[in-house]
This record gives sequence, C-alpha cells and structure tokens, in this order.
Amino acid sequence: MLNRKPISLPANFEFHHLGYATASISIESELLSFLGYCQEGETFIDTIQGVKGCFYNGSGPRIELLENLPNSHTLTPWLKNGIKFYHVAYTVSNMNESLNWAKNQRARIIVDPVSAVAFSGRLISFIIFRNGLLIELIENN
Amino acid sequence: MKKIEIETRVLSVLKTILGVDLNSKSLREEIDEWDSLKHIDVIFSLEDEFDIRFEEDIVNDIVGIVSLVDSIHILLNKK
Repeated sequence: MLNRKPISLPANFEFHHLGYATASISIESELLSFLGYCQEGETFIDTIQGVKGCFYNGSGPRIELLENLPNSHTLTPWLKNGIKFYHVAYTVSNMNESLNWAKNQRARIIVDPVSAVAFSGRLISFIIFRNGLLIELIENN
Repeated sequence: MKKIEIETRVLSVLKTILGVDLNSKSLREEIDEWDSLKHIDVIFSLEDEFDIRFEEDIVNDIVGIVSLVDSIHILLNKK
C-alpha cells in the first residue's frame, strides 16, 4: 500500500471552472442547456492558445467550452482520445508562487504565464501533474 | 551509461506509451501517436526510468529519439 502524503492545494487556490474540449461549441452548448446551463459572458477567441471558447453556468460547476480555431491543434490530443473534461482551473493570488508550488510537486509547466483574453488580459498558465491532471492557473488582479 | 543502453531503454519506454515500434532515427513529427499530450507522458516516464529531471526549456527541443538519448546521456553524466 502506498504511503504517500496527499497533495493539498495552497489555501489561495480557488476553483474557477472545468475546461471542456469539443469539436463544436454550438452543438455542445445545446446539450448543456438541457442540464440547465446558460452562457456567461461573451464568446472569446484566443489566438495565442488557438481556441475559441465561452463559459457556462448552471446546475454544476462552471464549464468552459473550447474548440480549436481553424488550423489550430491545441485541443486535438484530447479530442482524438475522446477526453472532454480535460482541465481544472483555479484562480491564484500569486502566479510565481503557485508555479513554484507546482514544481515542488514535480509538476511541469506546459504553458508559461501569458495574457488571456478570456480573463481580460490576466495571466494564465497550464501545469500538468505526473498523473496527467492538467491544471490552469488564473492570476487574480 | 552508454548511449546504446540508453537508446534501448528509451525505445522500450516509448513502445509502452505510444504502442508503436520506433527506431533510433524516429522523429516526433513522423509519429502520429507522439502528440503533445503523449510527449509529456514520455518525459515523465523517462524521468522515472532514469531518475533524472529534464529542464523545462529542453522538453520542447526534443524532436526525436536522437535528441532524447543525447539529453538523457548529458543528464546522467552530470549526476
């Protein structure tokens, strides 16, 4: 039996959304509406990440629907493997401290901090843990 | 450790992860199964296999078996 100390998130990490990869936001949003979800805010286009996306609120956690922009393959590895929910996003008070915490957990930064149109230009970063869990960090103002 | 031994172990790990046979000259861009998601899995698995840690900036420079073996060889020699 493994006797590893469980990883606990830093106190300043606050859940924000689940990232959901789809080939078609329009089809997926219709299905989400059956579950009582409604779009929150405008649809955005992030040319840095190569995705189009929008947020939905409803009967469960906030969901970010994302699809590839034309000629972009950002989401293709997940779509190809039939993985829809593919990241968990948290807001954090300090990006650098959060990345250092992640490195200490032997996670890897796969997207360095970069401005994100979905969050009014705030910094985001993606880290991946050794079990394949992908986490998006969103810096608070 | 000799490069040929590193290469043998690298090819074995990649076969397990990607499910395809590779050779010493295989390149990422030629292998559909070796996408960005699998690449992270490859890196984590090789770190465990050789008890090493790739630098963040090297990971994206690894384009195939040759660069993987060279990187591991350098890291092992630093230990």
